[in-house]
Amino acid sequence: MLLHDRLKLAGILVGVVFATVLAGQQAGTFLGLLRKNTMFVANAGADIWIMPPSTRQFQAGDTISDAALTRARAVAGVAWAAPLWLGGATIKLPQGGAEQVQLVGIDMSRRAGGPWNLVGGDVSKLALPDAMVFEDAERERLGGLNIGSLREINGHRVRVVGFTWGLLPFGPSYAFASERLAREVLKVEQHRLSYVMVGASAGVAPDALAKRLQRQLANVKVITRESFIRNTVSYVLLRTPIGVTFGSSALFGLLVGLVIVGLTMFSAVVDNVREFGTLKAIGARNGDLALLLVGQAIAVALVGALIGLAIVGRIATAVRSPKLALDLPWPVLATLVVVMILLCVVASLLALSRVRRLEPGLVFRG
Amino acid sequence: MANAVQAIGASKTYGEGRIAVQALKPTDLTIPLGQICFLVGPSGSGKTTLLSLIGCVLRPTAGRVVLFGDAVSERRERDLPDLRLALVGFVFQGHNLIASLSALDNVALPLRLTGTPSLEARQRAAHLLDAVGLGKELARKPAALSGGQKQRVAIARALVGTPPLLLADEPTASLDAAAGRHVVELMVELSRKMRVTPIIVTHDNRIFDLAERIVQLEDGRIVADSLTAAAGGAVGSAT
Ligand SMILES: Nc1ncnc2c1ncn2[C@@H]1O[C@H](COP(=O)(O)OP(=O)(O)OP(=O)(O)O)[C@@H](O)[C@H]1O
Ligand SMILES: [Mg+2]
Repeated sequence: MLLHDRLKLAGILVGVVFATVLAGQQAGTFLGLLRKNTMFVANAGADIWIMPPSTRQFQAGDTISDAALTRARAVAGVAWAAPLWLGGATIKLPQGGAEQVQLVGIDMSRRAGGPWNLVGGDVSKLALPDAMVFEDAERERLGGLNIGSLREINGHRVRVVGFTWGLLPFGPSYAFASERLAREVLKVEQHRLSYVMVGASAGVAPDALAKRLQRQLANVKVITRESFIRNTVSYVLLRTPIGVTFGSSALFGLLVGLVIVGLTMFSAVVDNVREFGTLKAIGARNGDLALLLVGQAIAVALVGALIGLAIVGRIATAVRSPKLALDLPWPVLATLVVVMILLCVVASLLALSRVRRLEPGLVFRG
Repeated sequence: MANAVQAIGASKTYGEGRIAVQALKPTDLTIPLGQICFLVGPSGSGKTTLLSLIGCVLRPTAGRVVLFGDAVSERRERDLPDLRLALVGFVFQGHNLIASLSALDNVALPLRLTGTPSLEARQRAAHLLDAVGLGKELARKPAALSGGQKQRVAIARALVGTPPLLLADEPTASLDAAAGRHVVELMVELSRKMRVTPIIVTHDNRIFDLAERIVQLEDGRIVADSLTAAAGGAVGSAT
């Protein structure tokens, strides 16, 4: 009895779809960005990370002594430990100018943290002198890179031997080199490194092992992969404006949706005030009418949310690229549906208050 | 004969203070079970107000309303919907059907409100629509029915829950004379058949012959109250 008015129904649906699309797209983009920031730690294959105490997220910064690596290898429960170097480097472009990359130096014996998702070239070629792997999506920006291209990084001539796909954090892209080259390019002091990655032996709980390592190692922070990812996420959320930016856009979408749906439902009730009055006169309780309104609100919310999610899905596929990938895991989709139901229920409260105030006697007046 | 309706000094004042309107002065009225009673009187005389008090739509400002021995005027405001559902079938001036529902679903509505299962509610609704001569129009929406047909659907809706009271407020107002007469005849006939006590507000003196008793209001008080020939010959004052 609200929904038979096609125009109003369309209005409510538009509100829900709009809110779903905007909130979904913002959430997806934000999560996609978060994933890019946590991608390295998530994919490097280490259970535990050892780092300078000041480190908040996976980024270049202070260094630690390589004693940590040696000590870690001797701790019970450690299956392997490997060093990692990370630092900013400047690549000179052939046409003039320069771009930044985050250079990752890996230990060639284990290649832990090494380039993955290769779309061209060969990881083993990193062992060649002056060999580096770059991100495919950045080839143009880095001056039209190809396998075999020569470039100058921090004053060193390097040769491109491969490309990764999609390794784009929020910031300069990753480039990979062997330990020896990375140390030279980044001018790392002797016996210093950025991170130690640790693999736990089978059956050893990373949590317990991290605590044991922390007790035995001085001047470093030891955390599991999961806490490192969590730290990175909370850093991005709390210390950067990214979270607020996306959050406020999503909130804006929800608010606009709430207003559209709320006002449309209210005006639908006003249009049908006689019918609601009739129902009251013949004995419908406020609760019956609330159920009717809220039930219809939930039905529209479900339909609108599904349409909205289908549109977000379309958008996600359309814009999908290494630089921008919407990340919409099913808990987020489910949350969106629940949020839309809540939105519509809240929106229906305004209409409901109008219905509650209706006097059944009004139906006797012509 | 037992009484269906008793109003004892019942009055109604709308609003308070300077804007207060005493629409119904303290009124006594007793209607026995099954009596076919018409409420008549000029516009603004308080007919709808009296009907609303009897129908548990409003509570009297003072005095009592007793339906079938139950002092409904003493009940709490929030119990009134259930009382209406259980005791009263309403027919309004406009048909007041739900536009988006078929005739069948409109008639089934009061049963659905009492929690009757859908199938049973529809069966009973179909039966009543048959009784008002609309057995073939079950699936029609109100917009596809004539004025008289809509009012017959409204009668079926009022009676489907077999309430003991049928209250109609100017049910013929939007109909032509013939259709209006037919609608009231139908209400009278079904009321007799289903042992319902009907109270019908009307302006239309061409149908007064269908009443057994005519109560006339003016200025918020009963000014005449008489049994008609249809009541069994005795014409005269009933009080
Ligand atoms: N809700 C209300 N608030 C204030 N005054 C009201 C209200 N309802 C009715 N009245 C007033 O009470 C008086 C009686 O009204 P009521 O509707 O009972 O008359 P009626 O006999 O049904 O008239 P009509 O034939 O025009 O329907 C009128 O003066 C009317 O203006
Ligand atoms: Mg009236």
